This record gives sequence, structure tokens and C-alpha cells, in this order.
Amino acid sequence: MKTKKLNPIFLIFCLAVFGLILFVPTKASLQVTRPEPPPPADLGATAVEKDVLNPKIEYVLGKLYNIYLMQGADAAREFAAMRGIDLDGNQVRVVAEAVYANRTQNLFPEAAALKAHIQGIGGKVEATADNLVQSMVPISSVEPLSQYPLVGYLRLPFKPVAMEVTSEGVNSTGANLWQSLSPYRNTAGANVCVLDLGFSGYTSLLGTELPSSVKTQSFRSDGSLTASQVHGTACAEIIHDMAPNAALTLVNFSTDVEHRNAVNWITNQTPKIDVISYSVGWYNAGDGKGTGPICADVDRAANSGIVWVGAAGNDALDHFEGTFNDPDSDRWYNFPDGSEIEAFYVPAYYLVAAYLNWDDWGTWNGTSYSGSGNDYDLYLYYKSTTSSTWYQADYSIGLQSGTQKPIEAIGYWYSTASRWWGVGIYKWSATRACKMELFTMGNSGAINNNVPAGSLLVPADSANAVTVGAVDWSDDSREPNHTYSSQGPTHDGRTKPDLSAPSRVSCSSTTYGNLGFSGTSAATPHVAGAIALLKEKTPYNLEQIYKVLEGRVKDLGTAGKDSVYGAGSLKLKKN
Amino acid sequence: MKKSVILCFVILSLSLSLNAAIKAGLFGGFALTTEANYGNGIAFGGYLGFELTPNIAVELRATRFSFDVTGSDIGIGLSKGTMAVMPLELNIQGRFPVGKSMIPYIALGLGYSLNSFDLDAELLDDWNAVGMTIEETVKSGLAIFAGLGLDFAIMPGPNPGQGLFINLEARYMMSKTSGSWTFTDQVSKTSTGADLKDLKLDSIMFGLGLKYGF
Repeated sequence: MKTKKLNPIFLIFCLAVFGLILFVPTKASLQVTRPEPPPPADLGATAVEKDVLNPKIEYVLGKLYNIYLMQGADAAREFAAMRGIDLDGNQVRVVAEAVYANRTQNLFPEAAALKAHIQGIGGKVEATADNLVQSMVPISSVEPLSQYPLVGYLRLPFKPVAMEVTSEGVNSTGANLWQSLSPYRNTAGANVCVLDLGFSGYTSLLGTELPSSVKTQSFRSDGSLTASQVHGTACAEIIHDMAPNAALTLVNFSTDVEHRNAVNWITNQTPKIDVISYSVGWYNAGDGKGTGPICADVDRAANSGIVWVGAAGNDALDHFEGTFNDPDSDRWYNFPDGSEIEAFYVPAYYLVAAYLNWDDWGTWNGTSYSGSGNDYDLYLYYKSTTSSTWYQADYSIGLQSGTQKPIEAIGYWYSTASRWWGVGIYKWSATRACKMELFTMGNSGAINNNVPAGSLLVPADSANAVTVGAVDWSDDSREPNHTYSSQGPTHDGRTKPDLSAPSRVSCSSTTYGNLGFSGTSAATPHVAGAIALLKEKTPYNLEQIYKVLEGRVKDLGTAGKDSVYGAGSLKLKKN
Repeated sequence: MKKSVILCFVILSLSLSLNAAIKAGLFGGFALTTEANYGNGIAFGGYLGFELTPNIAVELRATRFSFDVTGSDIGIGLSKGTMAVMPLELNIQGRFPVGKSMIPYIALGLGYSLNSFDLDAELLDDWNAVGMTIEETVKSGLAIFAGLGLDFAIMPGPNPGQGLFINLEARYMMSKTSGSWTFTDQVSKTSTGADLKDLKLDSIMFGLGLKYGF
């Protein structure tokens, strides 16, 4: 038997690593180092070392802070650009969730104190809502800010995604038959708010594709209504196509805090807003049971008598859910096909992202969730284009020790070539096998173990939202172009979406052009417009109008209301 | 209605027992309504009068007229359609004979107006095309009348009040009624509706008639 000799190069390498560890800046010692998990069985490469900040900081925000301290501002900016993190110089946009004691009266004095503190450390407070304070703070003060006693949790703002994948829908639904009718016993008209991300180009469409005047309000921190996004404009065009006399209010936002302020503003408008058209969705923003901060905003609007019409999502093919399963006891989740990496194919130049949540949100008290004590992590891999080797690209290993949200998210990566990407789920510590829900972004087709059921984005799960799926305008079918339309049921078993509406429709050349606007984003304003049209023309109240719509749909899929098409495809025609 | 018939019989019996002169005739005319969104219409009808004394007469009268309703811009009242009004009336006349052939009179009456309303056919068709059924109904109701008239004998009979008369008359009808509307989706059966209150049917009628006195 031979004895192994010590390799001198290896020895030098070890000493160098040891030296580096000694000279790491002292602030890094605030980090809690986690042992690196073994790679999933499918992986041909090793995982990188992982570490986490204190439990009061969202993982990605903590990572940004670390990079800033250890690699400098340029590296931090590069990281932020890749992750879609909002930076302004060396300041980062964060949301501080204030601890609170007096929620029953909806008073949050702690948030006011926290606001003052943030201003005191050089931060700029952009918006507040309830216990949430949105601000730009120096990256270097992320960690100190998290230590401030009134900070319960420090995170990046939730970011909504536009669900666009364009209106022939006017004739296919029969709305054209209604438009020439004189209102019967109704002089009130209809007021529709398009709550969206941006309204680029809307001014050039006033008086043609849009009403001659619209009311506008931006809740973005930069005050930009256009926000370099045409999505909201296209949605508004469809509403105007469906209900030409409806008054439109265009409102935009970019974070969850701005979202709440926007909804509060909308509910206080005179004349009263009748319908909100909402072609926006959120990942990881709630438990899928109609609770959470975004669903609470929907509830608030509904309680003020507004009909919230929201998109189901375009994620039926990007969704997986299943109870954590690890037959080989290596802590890596074995997906139904046995693999430990959930693979999906991404065309070149697409952005890649993954969002994981699991059913351990705790109790929703109207302001926040009690949190999760089961800790799972999310890993992102890409596959060589020339071999079957997987490489780790990124990970999200936030701590869930009892009070944090059961979420992990990775984004955005840029796929420089058409290739396979994959996701692994690692059990760090868990007292039970939680039900995992995974969304991916960038895949051209269905992910390997695709589960379309339950693929609703938040707030499509809200009991107070009219949730809209997409069908083709020409034949009410899903195949082959609309299989992406998110499906129910909700995580508490309610049937969603509520109905389906036309997609793949035309908008002005300023927006999406001929047959260029697809997705539940396009479907949603058809329903909002239909409600506005009947609101203007008939003496029905909003509740009765919805009964009329529901009664007239063309039943699709399983007889009756189902979790794929809802009650059916929107029809205003008699037959 | 039943009360009106009974009342007519009572008056007829009373008149016959008093040997009152009887006048019967037909008339036509024009009804001008007082509401802004109501049109005007042709009126016609018949009357049966009993001259209890040379200066007092009672008269039973049935009139029918109809007019277009243009519909309310503010969503109240009746919609576009045609209103038909048929007041059945008992009036008492104070008659003031001037010579043998001219009898001016004033009249006060009470009646019951049989009302009906038909929605505009085009409106119904338009809404039916999208599967909606509209119904609007009006109730019948009391009416009060006041008028001025002149009976002019063109073929006088042997006694005053007998012979063939031309009648000229102007009368005002005051009537207020109510109704209801319903709006129903033929598909989902979702229905809504409300009462229509204070529907004024006031009108001024100008009539020209022929009466024959027995």
C-alpha cells in the first residue's frame, strides 16, 4: 500500500486561502456561515460556499451588502443590475418592515419613528404604507439599519411582473352589439382605473385609441407615469375599445409599498372608480390562499365597492408544485421524474429567474405573516451546451428560523446561448415535508415536471378579485398559443380563474401592433371593459353585471366552472 | 271600475225617474300634454248626458287619447314609447242657456283613467338583440276634470235641450299615476327594476262633437 505525499502546490494554495480568510473585513464576521450542501445527484460540479446575513435581512439584499463591502461599488452595481435591484449611486431601494404593536387601530407609530431614523442615517424615504417604509439607503447602511430595534425585517421591494405575451376581442365577445345602445335608466357612466406599471406613449393616443382626456397619477418614487413601459397603455386601449365612453384613470407603481398607496388613492377618488383593471402579478407575495399584502390591497378596493379584475398569470408552463420528497435522504428534493434538478430550456438572450415558496407562511394577521421555521434553499444551474455537465449559477439561501417568509428567489440571469437551465431545492432544516411551489422565468416551453394546476400569481388567488384567464380571440381555444394561462385552484381549494377572455389581439402600432398583445394581460382589460360597458348601458349594479357576465360565458373545458377556464369564455352576445 | 258602472246605473235610474232630457254624442279633438318629454295626441270619445234641470246636467264620458313619450334623459319617468289614456268620467255641468240654441256650460268631473304604456318597438328590438327584456307598466288611476263648453243647436228640437247640437269644449285633466320597470337578462335571468312614481298625465283637451238631445 502506497503512502500519499503532501503536494507542495496544494499546501501553498491552502495557506493562501487561510491568509485571505484572516484578512476578510471585520463586518463580514456578522455573517453566519452555513456548511455547503453536497451537490444534487444530477450535478457534475461542486456548489460554491454559501453564507447568510442576519435573519432580519433578505438574502439577496444581504448578498449585495457583502459584495459592496468586499468587492466594491462596481461589483455591487453589476450584481444589482443582474438581479434587477434598484440602485441610485451607492444607494439601494429597500423596504423596512417596522415592528408594530397597535395594529388593531391601523396605527403604526413605529413606522413614523423608523422613517425618522432612516432619514437620520442619510436615507431618503420615498413612500410609507402601514408598517412599511420604502426608502433609498446607502448600501453600507443595510446591516446597521437592520439592527435598529424598530426594524422587523429589511428587504428589497416586491416587484410586479407585467403579464403580456394584444382588439379583435370586441367583436368576438359581442361588445360591439352593446356599444350602439343608448343607456337604459343609467346616466352614471363608468369609471375604470388601469393599475399598471407604465403608460408609455399614452399621450399620443388621446382622442383616438384612448379617450380625449384621462386622469393620471404615478406612485413611483421617480414620479414617472410612462416608466418606459407600454404595457399599461395597451391595456387601456383595450378597455377603450370595449367601452368607448368609459372614463379612464391611469395609475402606476413599481413596488409593493407604492402599490398600497396607489390602491388607497384609487379608493378615495371622486367620482368613484367602478373597476380596476389589473394585468399585473407577483411571485412569492402570498400563500396562494388569498392572503398577503397584495391580496389585502385587493380586499381594500373590494370593500370600497370597486370590482377588481385581475390577470391569472402566464405561468401554467413555468410552474411546479409538490410535497418535498427525498427518497435518497441527501436533502435534495427529488422531482417526480426522479431528478434533483428541475430542467427547463431557455432560448438565447432570454432572462432567467426562479421563485420558490412553500406552505409554511404561518398566520396572516392582516399586515404580515407570522413566518416560517422550515428552511429550504433554492439553487440555479445551467447546463453545458456541449456536454451533459451542470454548473451552479446562483443560489438563494435565506434563513427561515421562525419569522421569515418561506420564499427564495433568484433573478435575473441572462442566457447568452440557448441552453438548459435547472433548479434544485435543498432542505436546510425542516420539521415536516413542506409543499414546494416553484415558478421559473425564461423557459420557452413547459418545465420538465410541469404542474399547471395552482399556477396562479398573486393576487389572482384573492377571493375578492375577478380572475381572468386567456383564450384565443378567434376560437376560444387554448391550443396551441395560450397554454401558458395560469390555472387554479387556489392553495385553499377555491376554483380560479373566474372566467376567460380574448388574447392575441391587436393594439395600436404605438403599443403591440397587429395581433401582438397576448397573455392574461390582454384578456383582463376585455373583462374590465365589458363590466364598464354594461355599467354604462344598463341599470344593473356591479354585482348584477358580474352575474350577467358569468351567465353568458361560453362554457369551455369541464362542464361548469373549472380551474382551467373558469366559468368559460367572455361573451356579451345573446347566444 | 265596478264602482263607476254602479254609479252610472244610479244616475241613469235617477234621470229616468226625473224625466230628465238625455243627450248622447261623439266627439273628437286634440290633447295637449303638459310634461316636457310627452307629445300630444288625437282624442276621441263619447258622452251621455242627463239634464236634470235646465241649468244642471250630469254627464258620463269616455275619452281616449294617446301620445308619444320621448323618454327621460335623466333616467327617470317613462322611457321612449306610447302612452294610452282612457278616462271614464262623471261630471256635473252648470249650464247657462242663452236663447234657444246656445248653452254655455262649465263642468267639474271625477273619473278613473285606464292607462297603458307600450315601449318603443325599436328600443325593445335593440335590447332584445343583446338578450335583454325591458318591461314598463303604468297603473290606472283617478283623474279630476274641469272644463268650459258650448252646446250649439244646429237642428233645435221641440223642447229646450232637444235636437242636434254641436259641442265645443276645452277641458283640463289632472291625473297622476305610478308604474314600474324591469330589466331582465334573458340568459342569466338577472333582473332589476324599480317603481315609477309621480307620473303626471295632465292634459288640456280641445274637442268638437255632435250631440243629439232626446
